[in-house]
Parts: sequence; C-alpha cells; structure tokens
Amino acid sequence: MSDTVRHDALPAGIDRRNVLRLGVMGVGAAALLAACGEGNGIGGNASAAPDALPAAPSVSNVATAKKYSGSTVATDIPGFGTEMATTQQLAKQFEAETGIKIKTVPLPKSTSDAYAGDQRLLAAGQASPDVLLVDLIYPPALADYLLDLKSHLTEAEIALSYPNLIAVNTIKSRLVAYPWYGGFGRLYYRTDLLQKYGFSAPPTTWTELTSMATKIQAGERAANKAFAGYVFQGNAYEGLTCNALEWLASYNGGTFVDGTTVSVDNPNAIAALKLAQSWIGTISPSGVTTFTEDEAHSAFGAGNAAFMRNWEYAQDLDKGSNVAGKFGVAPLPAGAVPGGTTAAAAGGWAVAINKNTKNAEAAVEWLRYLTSPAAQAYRAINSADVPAQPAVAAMPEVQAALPALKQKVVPFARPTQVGVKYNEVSTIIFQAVNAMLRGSDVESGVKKIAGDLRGLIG
Amino acid sequence: MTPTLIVAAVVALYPATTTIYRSFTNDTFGGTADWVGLHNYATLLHDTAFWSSVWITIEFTAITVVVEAVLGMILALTLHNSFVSRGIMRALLLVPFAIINVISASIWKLMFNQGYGVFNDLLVDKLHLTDTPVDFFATRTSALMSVSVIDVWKTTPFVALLLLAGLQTVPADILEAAQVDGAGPVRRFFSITLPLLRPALLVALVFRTLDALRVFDVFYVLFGARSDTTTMSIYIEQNIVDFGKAGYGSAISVVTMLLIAVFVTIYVGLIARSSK
Repeated sequence: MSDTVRHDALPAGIDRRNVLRLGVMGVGAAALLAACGEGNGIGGNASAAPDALPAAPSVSNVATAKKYSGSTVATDIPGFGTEMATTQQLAKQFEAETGIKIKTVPLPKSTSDAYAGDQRLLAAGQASPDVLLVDLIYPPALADYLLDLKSHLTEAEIALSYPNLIAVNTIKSRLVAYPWYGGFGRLYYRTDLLQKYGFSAPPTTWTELTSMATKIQAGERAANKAFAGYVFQGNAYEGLTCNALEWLASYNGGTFVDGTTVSVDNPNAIAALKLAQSWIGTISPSGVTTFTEDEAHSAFGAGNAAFMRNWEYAQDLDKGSNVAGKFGVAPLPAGAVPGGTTAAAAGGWAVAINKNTKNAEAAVEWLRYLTSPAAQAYRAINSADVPAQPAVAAMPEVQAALPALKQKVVPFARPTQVGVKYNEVSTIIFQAVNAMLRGSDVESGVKKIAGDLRGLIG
Repeated sequence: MTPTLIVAAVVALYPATTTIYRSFTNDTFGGTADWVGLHNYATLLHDTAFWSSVWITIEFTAITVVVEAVLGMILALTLHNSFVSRGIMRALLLVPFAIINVISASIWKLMFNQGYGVFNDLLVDKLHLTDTPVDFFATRTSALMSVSVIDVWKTTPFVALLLLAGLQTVPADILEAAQVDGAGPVRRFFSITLPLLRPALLVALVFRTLDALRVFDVFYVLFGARSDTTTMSIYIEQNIVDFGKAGYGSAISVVTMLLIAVFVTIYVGLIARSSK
C-alpha cells in the first residue's frame, strides 16, 4: 500500500492534519490518544495453554528488585485468553528471579466491571491490589487514588513510551499510570473475495466499502444465506462508542465532546450516522445491533462476512479459522467528505500503583518489568498486544507477528476528558446510536445525544 | 426472639436503612456524599430513562405472570391426573428452573441468533417459512416477547409445582359428588377446583410477580445496556456501578422497593380475603 506509514511514526497520531486539528481545539487534557480499552475488556479471544508459550524474557531490573525479595505484590492481570497466559508467564519469571511473590488477581471480562471493582476498592481505601491495570478511558476518574509514578520511574524510562500515551496518563501533572499496550480499530477484509469480485484493493472510503460489500454480499448470498457484507460492534456498550467515534471522526464530524464543548450536532456527524444506519438490513444483518467483538470475530472467522471492524487481536483468525490466509488488515475507511480521514478509536491499557499500597518499591519493580521493552515485545508476539513504545513496535519480529503495525493509523481519543462522568457520556452515546441502528430517526437522535450531553457536563 | 431480631437487623434492616439514607445524599464516586434532601426524587420524576425502565418491567411482569399462571395450571392439572411415573415427571419439570439464569439466558441468546441460531435454521432452511433470517431482538416489542418466552419456559414449572401441591388438597369426594350430580369437567374446574386452589394460586402469583419486578439477569445477558430494554434493576445497577452514583441509584432502589410493596399489598389483601 502506497500510503503505508511506518508504525514508529504513529505515536503522535501521525497525520499532521489531525495533530493540528486537535491542537487547534485546544483539547487540553487531551490527549491525542485518550484511549479506547477494547470495549470488551482485556483478554482477547484466542486461547492457548501457558505451557505452549516460550519462556518469558529475563528481568533486567533484577538487581534492584532483589532488595525487596520476600515481599508480596498483589497485581491485576488480564482475566482470560492468551493475554492472561503471557502475563502469568511474566509473573512466574519475575518471582523466580527476584524472590518477590506475585499474587495475581484476574480482571473481569468487561472493562466497565473492572472499573466498578476499582471504584469500590479504591474508594474504601484498600491497600490491595498494589498494582492495577487501568483501561485508558479511566485514568482521569481514578487519578486521585493512584501513585505519582514520576517520583519512581526515571525520565529515560518515561520517554520510552509514545508521548501522547504519557499525556493521557498524566493528570494534573502527575503520571498516574504507565502505558502497557495499545489497540486501534482496524478494517479486516477477505482478500479472496475481493479478488473474486474484481477489486484490487480494500476500500478507502465508507461509500466504497458500502458498494463493495453490497456486490460481494449479493454474490455470496446465493450459496450462504448467513453471509454479510460488513460486521462491526453494534451492541449497546462501550465498543459501539468506539465504532461511532470512528464514523464521526472519519467524516470530520468531531468526537462527540471536543475539549469542553459538546460538538456532536453537526451535519457531518449526521451524515456519518445516516450511512451507518443504512447498512443495517442491507450489508449488515440487523442482528449486528447485538454484536460485540466476539460475535463479529466469529462471523468473520466462520467465513460469513466480507469486511469486519475489530482490534488487532482478531489477527488470531490466521490460525485455524475458516478464513486463515484469506484476509488482510487495512486502515478503516475515510468519510467521503472534505476533511474526511481514516480514523481509529484509540484504546489500550496502562499499569498503575494503588496509592495505599504497603509495598510501593516492590510494586514499582514489578511494574518496571511488566512494562519493559522486552516484556512488551514478548506480549506483542505471543498475545497480539500492540506495544506502547515505538522502539518495540519497530522490532522486525514484532512486526512479523502483528502485520497490522505496518498499516497507517490515525488515532482518535474518546472524550475521556470528562473524567468520572465518562461512563455516563459513553452510555448516552452508545444507547442513542444503538437505537438509530435499530431504525430510530438520526436527526432527532443526534439532538437527543447533544441535549443529554449538555445536561450532563454543562 | 432476640437472636432473630439481631439477624434481621444485620441482613435486612441495616442495608435497607443505609439505602434509604443514601437516597437523600448526592453520594458519588470521586465526589462528596452530602445531604440533598428530596433532590434525587425530584430528578427521578423527570427522568425519562427511569420511567421507561418502570414500564418495560411492568409489561414484562404482566405478560409473564399471566401466561405462566395459565400454562402452569394446565400443566398441573395434566400431571395431577396422570399416574404414570408422576414422580419422574415432576423432577423433569424442574430442570429448566434448576439451570442458572445467566447460563440458560446465554443458551437462548445463541438459539435466537440471527446468523446461526436454531430458530432461524428452522424458519429459513428447514421449513422455508421466510427467506431472510429473523432478528428476534430488533424492536422493543419483539425483544420483550423473546425475553418473555425465556422466562415462561423457565418458571412455568415452578408455578405448576406450587399448583400441583394445591391440587392435592382439593378433596376428591367433593369432585366425585359433583360428577354424580351431573357437573361436567369444565363446571367442576371453575366451581370447585379453582376456588379451592385460590390460596396456592395467590402464593404462586406473589412469588412470580416479585421475581419479575426485580428481573435483571435475562435482560442483561440478552440486551446489555440497550436503552429500550433497561429494566428497573438494570437501571439501578447502571447508576450505582457504572456511573458511581450511589445516591441517585439508592433513590431508584427505594422507589422500586415501594413499587414492589404496592403489588405485595394488593396480593396480601387478596390472600386475606380468600382465606375468610
């Protein structure tokens, strides 16, 4: 692809226009990249036995860590799938080398459940878990309960991460969490079907996607009644907020709330949502309004869809699914309007330390190892987690494992600058958009979102 | 007496009073917990999302309780009159009721699935009744019907068992006497069996109504946080857990509790009358 941008250029959001736009809006808290934890929480979908994994990298900070040998650190870990396995593997390695005991606490599958748990623990002043995994949408809400890592990590260590990820996690000039991995919305397409129907490249605009999907679906339906042109995450949950954000941003229609201003009621946003509404019952089954990542993943994996929007983890379909070796990954299409751009909801997770911890030093050493370049490369290769450090993303073995890293990404942040009210903001968005997908009027729906958001954040 | 009171105070009184107290505060995660008087209740009056949750819950309750009572009665009468392996039949009846709600809801969700669900397989591929697979959750009405089917499947046996127990108390000699006097089966049912069954029927209705008004799991599994299928319990959970608004969520809990109390009062009144 000619417009391929090397992933190491990605961090700042690469696209100069995009940087400019956000800059102009003065999105203070802002964060080019403020985060989209994969709506469905962490864990990915694939499963692999821990013993099938290669050994974890050795602990580079072992010398300092050994000083705290014998202490116990309780830490959140992803709750399922290969992400859980690779993290457990790292924990085992760390225990064996440093003598610090790691007590793992698996997180619930849904990111909002994990957040709800954090709320209760932190508000009650609990000292455990010492180390928390935080979806990048929540640092503003949890900041007061987390340790400032600036006094524990060196400037060189902080500089390893993408600057915008550091910015997202810096609340009131305190670094409350250290970036662990990222995630971006991607377009998956069937290479064999594109060829069969005479298309030479994946779509670059949503209009193009719509017509390509229509043609392929019409042809494939004859043999497969369950075949759909395009599947995405349409259920009423965080994942739909990410999808809708991508539609709006790609149409140059803002990100619902920009800075402190509710911006959703604009013609571009309405055009984007109307197009999405038109997919339902045509190129997308009406049941897509109940799809999360899992349902989209299995429909595409079964060979029942030409296009799918999903995160990087879905590349696991290359192993042992009906579409193994028959699909490619591309940037999501742009809106066919002036100022239209490819847009990817930005997500990811960071590692934080509980302010009430009794083992801050040992916890910092564990954080240091868990987020080290070697550990990030290990997790990128073995559990498809997009590294949060450019140097790691540029490693050839990482790029070989995650080909999507070579694709252009223009990340957009969800409006997390609203802090503790983010969940309410997102609920207003995904409930209204879900209703539109099920046929309610787009114009009045957008008005309702705007009104509700203004009522909420003033 | 005293130990009972202590247990009741710990498990019922403390949570209830805390909830009521909290409903008068603006207790929010990351915020304060100040006394705000009736402010939450005033907000609630104009909260369209709340009223939408009240209506869907009441509709769900009305549909499922009526259908379950009728089907449960038919099932109970059938079982009462069959002698072959009655014990085994009764045990089998309880199977749907014994499956964990979340599990059975997830299984039903798969069966309702538009792409690979068994219902669409029947409708489209086997019976050829329609060409395009049906989306059972598309509209509010179809979603409500789908979820009601699951609840009916699951809890009709429970109603049937309660009624079956009631049927054992209907004296056979009265029924025989009526038969001798020339009353047909329909007349015997409405004039003798049903009036005598009234206490058992009311108990079954109380249980089912209270359960239905508190419904959470089936809706949550099937529809997640979709706005038009948010029940009262889901709305409470959303406010307290997702939004961290313990104060407002408590106010909703209190109103829900009062609403349930209204139904209980009606039923208790009916029971008292029927036992006279």
